[in-house]
Amino acid sequence: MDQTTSNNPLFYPPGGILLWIIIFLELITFGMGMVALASTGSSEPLLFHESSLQLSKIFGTLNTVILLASGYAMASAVHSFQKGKKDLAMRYLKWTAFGGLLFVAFKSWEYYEKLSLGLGLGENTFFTYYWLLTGFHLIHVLIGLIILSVVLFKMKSATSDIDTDDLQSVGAFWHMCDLIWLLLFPALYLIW
Amino acid sequence: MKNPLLLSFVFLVGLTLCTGLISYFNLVPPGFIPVLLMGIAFIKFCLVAFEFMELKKAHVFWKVATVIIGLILAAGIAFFSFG
Repeated sequence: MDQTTSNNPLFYPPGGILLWIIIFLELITFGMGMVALASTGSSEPLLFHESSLQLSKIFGTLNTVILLASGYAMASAVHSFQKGKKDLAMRYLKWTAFGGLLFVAFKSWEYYEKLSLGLGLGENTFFTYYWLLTGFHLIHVLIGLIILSVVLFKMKSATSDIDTDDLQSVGAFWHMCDLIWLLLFPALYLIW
Repeated sequence: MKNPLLLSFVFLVGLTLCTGLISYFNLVPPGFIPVLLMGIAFIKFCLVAFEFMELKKAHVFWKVATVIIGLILAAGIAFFSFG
């Protein structure tokens, strides 16, 4: 890499340029799905209103708060690691993972409820969007949890080669799940 | 409160509870709900990006690009939900 690019902050966003390209692509992909949901909902307002009443706003709000708390723990982990407090960073990472697991548990319970009421993927257009959008989001959270577990496992080792850039990349991926959910939550649960 | 991360988190939770209450108790006329809720979602989106993801330390390109993408998505959802 030449001198011009190695010094230019344009090529070094927190978490790395490749991850930010992925974040933008993910946001645009999910965004198109959410805009399609809004567009379809405006042509079938009654169906979307009645279907969204089947979703628990309290559950959705609780899951949002859990994901935000988990995001706060992740940001604190990166902050602590930058200050050289590795043990504190690991403790925050465990809280991050715990928040992620709690989100998955609540989401699984919500899915179980919907399936037991017969509200599957093919029930109507609202639930097709609901299952696809929340399902793909949940897959991202699960991937984030796997990455978090690997990083935590590596950090436990005395000869750990995890550095601030690695942790920032994990954090950027984790926060991407927050960003998607922050738009998905009102689009699915609240505006209809 | 000196910790900016904690302050942002408290503000984010406050905004989330506000959106939940607005929607649950129908506190605003139905026509305003998509704009208001997606507006609040956009503020939360920027807070997470700038504070939690440390975008405030990044080059201006990444700040502007993130804000534009968040704005287009939030506005798009609000706009298309009107029909």
